[in-house]
Amino acid sequence: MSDSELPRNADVLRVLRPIPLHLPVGATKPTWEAMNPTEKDKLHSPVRVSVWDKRRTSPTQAIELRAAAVSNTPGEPRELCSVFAISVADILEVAATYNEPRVRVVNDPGGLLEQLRGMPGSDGHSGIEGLDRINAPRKQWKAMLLDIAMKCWFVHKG
Amino acid sequence: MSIPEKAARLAARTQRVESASADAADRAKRRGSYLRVVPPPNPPDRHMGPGSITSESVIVALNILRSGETFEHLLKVLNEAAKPPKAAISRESYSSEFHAAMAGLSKRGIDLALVGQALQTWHLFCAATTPPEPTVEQTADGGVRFAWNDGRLYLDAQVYADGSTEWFFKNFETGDTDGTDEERDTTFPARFFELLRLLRNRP
Repeated sequence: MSDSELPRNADVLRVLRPIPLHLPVGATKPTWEAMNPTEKDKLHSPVRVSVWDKRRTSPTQAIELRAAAVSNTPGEPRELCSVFAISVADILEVAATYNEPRVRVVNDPGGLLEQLRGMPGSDGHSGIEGLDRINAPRKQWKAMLLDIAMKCWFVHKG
Repeated sequence: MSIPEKAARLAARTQRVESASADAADRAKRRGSYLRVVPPPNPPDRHMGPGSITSESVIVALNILRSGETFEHLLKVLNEAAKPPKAAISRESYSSEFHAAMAGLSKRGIDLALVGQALQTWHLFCAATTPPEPTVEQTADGGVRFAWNDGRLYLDAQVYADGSTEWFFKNFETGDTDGTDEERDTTFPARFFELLRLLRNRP
């Protein structure tokens, strides 16, 4: 499967680590930092924030895939991870508001870690491009990530 | 006496603050560093007599002045601080999670210089107002962030081990944003403290 864009009516899932940086205690929405590409995300060109196509990956599978991806990382029990969903249309609409044409949501089979290949739901691996800051003023960039985060809705807790 | 109480008392003595802060600012300017005037003229807490200010007050005052604001603006900020909040928040009202997060900074392998900057920043906020409870977390780029989000207003402040800072604000109702644009600063501007008080006074 090529890195084709997901349709606007698709929803993607984002698995969040159990840390206040991404989801403060008691919060119903993620922080903007939850949409900020990690150093690992930045190894990919173009930079992609890892998400899962909800049509191909269930929230439970997304948690399992995340757990398998960080199985060597201590202190991240899967039962504490949370899954949020966001529509592709919302992501693109927010990006348009900030005149950020780089933002798109694509299938990302190539970005799947080797140990996850063949796992149930792994074919839904996708990525949000254009969330890294290049030229945009810092506050404009943060505002865009925050607006995207505020469009998310909670769907599952591990 | 808590730092917010000290700040309130300080603000209530505007005339004394004016002369004391101006003197402290002059000294800071001559010496080129506000840190050198941090030691208060009298032992803090016990001697709030005429003309005396606390170390925290000096830090607040000089950070505001160093951010390019006028001295009149500083007085306005201090006068605002003297007004009783709509809903008073005592230091004791912060949750155990918050206290644990603050106390835990030094236990997470975070650079001690960064821990020091984070604690100093929190004291700075408390000296200016009584902040609502923030979330506290180490950021992906090596700083510590204090963040507030009541669903209508979002405000965060990040500090780094080298003393640099950045902040960000968004009003979800109006779409207004503000904050650090490009280069990080070494201080928080008066606008940041205004927003912090705005968050505190939200019903």
